[in-house]
Amino acid sequence: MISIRRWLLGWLIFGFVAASGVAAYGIFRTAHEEANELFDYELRAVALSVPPTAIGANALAHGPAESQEISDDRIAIEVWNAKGEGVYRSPEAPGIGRLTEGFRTIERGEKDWRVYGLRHPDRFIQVAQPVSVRESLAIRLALRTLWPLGLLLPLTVALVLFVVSRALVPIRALSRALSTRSLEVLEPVYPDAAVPIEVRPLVDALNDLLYRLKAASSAQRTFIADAAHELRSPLAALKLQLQAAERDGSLKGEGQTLGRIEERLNRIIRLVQQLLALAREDAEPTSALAPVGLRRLAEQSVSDFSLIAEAKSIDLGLELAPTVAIDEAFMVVGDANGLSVLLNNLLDNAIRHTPQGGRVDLVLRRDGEEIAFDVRDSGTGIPEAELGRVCDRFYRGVDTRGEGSGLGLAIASRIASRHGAALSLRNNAEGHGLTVTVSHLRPGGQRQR
Amino acid sequence: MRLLLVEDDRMIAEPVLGAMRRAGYAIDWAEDGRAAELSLGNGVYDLVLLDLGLPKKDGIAVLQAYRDAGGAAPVIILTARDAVDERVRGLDTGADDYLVKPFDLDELAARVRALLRRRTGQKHPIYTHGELALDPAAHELTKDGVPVALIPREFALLRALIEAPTRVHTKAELEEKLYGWGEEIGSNAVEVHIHSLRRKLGAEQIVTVRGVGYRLRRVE
Repeated sequence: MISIRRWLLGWLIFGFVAASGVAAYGIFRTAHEEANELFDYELRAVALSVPPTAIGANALAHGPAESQEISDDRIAIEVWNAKGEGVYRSPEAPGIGRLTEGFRTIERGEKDWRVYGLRHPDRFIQVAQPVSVRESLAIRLALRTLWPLGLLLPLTVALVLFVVSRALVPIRALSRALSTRSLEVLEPVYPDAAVPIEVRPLVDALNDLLYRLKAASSAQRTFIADAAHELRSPLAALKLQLQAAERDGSLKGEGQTLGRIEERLNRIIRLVQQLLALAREDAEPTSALAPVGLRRLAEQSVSDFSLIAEAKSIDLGLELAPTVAIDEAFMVVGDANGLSVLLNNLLDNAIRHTPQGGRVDLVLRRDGEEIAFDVRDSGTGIPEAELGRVCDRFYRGVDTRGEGSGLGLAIASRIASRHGAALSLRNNAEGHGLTVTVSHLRPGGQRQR
Repeated sequence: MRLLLVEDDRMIAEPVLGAMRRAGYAIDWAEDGRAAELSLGNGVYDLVLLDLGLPKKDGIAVLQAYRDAGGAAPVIILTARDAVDERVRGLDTGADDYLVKPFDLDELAARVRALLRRRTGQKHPIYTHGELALDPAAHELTKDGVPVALIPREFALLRALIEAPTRVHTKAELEEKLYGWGEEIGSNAVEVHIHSLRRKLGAEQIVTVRGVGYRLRRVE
């Protein structure tokens, strides 16, 4: 991932350190050259100023006080007479031997020496100095120039850190504002806060997108409401006409045919209702969630299905875990209507797929902060290969017969995800039936009444 | 009994009118909001079936005006809009019941009967369910015409069940019906009475809905 902050910090600090390094090297080089020039000048001056008296033999033994001082600077002096015999040699002279006139750098022993030779008509003077002396002076000079730079480096790094962080504050605030809001909230971001001009187009584009999304979503809701009305009215008319005609005998036909037509009609009605429920769920924002008593909703759903269950001799019941749970234990943050549809769809499916004399349980579970419920049936279950697909819209199991709309589980899983909950299906371990689990419902605290 | 149907769709109105007439009610038909207001002005109706999506004047507005003018007849809303807030708005405006299209004629007839019975509640109708017939006024219960002797709490319990025979009554609801405020309730008082009712009427008459409560058995 690209991080503007890391990129800026990296390159700024690297750039500054590199520039400092180049500057330091340049300063050192200059100091070195200056030291060279200085010492060369000094060498030459020493050579020129060697007194002619130094030719005497005693001078060879003790050396003049003047030359003693010079040798403190570690300048070695050697003098030869016109015949080429050495007449003077200072104690630290390395025994270079006579060289030609002028400057040169040579190596003797383990040291490099800078040597200057000067020819007089009557003698030859050669002065030499170790190069290390010059280098230590060059380093001293360079350090004297460089120490403020060294002090400046941490200061500059701190400044860079501060400026970069400060400059990125609006971007960070924007990311935070975006990441903390729910995905389904379509209100504009930063409606009137001061946003830097570099980020402004981004915020504007985002708000424009949100605005269009909101418009589209509200258009969809209107469309669904209209579609509901337009579809329901003719279906209602059809159903009522059919029922009335059957009753007063004005519709002549085989009883079986009429029955089949009515059954088909009821399926269409159910399909339309499921489609509308799904479309409504899709268009529903998550913002409207409030604390809801799941236990009440569960009791209601079980009650609603208890007649149908009795007709199929199915033992339908509600269980609580832990069994002594108080009502408050099953308060969740949710949409009461959506959760009812979810429970009803799952119970409807369970009863539909459970044979005569079977059993269906709705189990509410609370474990610490985790609220979940299971709908467990003793039906045929679902082949493992199909488990992953049954929540798809209009997916019908390979063996399932006609009645279902193929939308029940799709609606259920959509409602679950709208609540931030997870819907999962698994075949029971004992080999009979299916368990649908809705988990991670958010605990709702106190009832708002 | 005189009913008013307010419905703009002739295909829906005709079967409803027919079914209500066959059930023994006199029923008039208003095709739009304006006509409905005129008819309701007479004040002769015992019950109103009201569609919400009406031409000329919206159903909610008709209901509002009717209630504001002091109209007291029960109103059942028949509508193709089923959004929850629509339903809440209808009930808040003063509707007594709500049926979403497409509905069943039997369902409509049952709701009409229930509302009319509630309206004429003083006359204490006799409740019947399968073989059972309960007469609250005479404090009498018969099964297949044979009187069954019940103690008052059993009778009250059965009355609560038979008044809404398809509903599941929770234990808490039944306790509330059986005992007054501040009365000491035994922890399993309802179970005890249910048990003795089953013994007297036959166990199959009262169904236990596990984890929820009790209701009368299903009758075709």
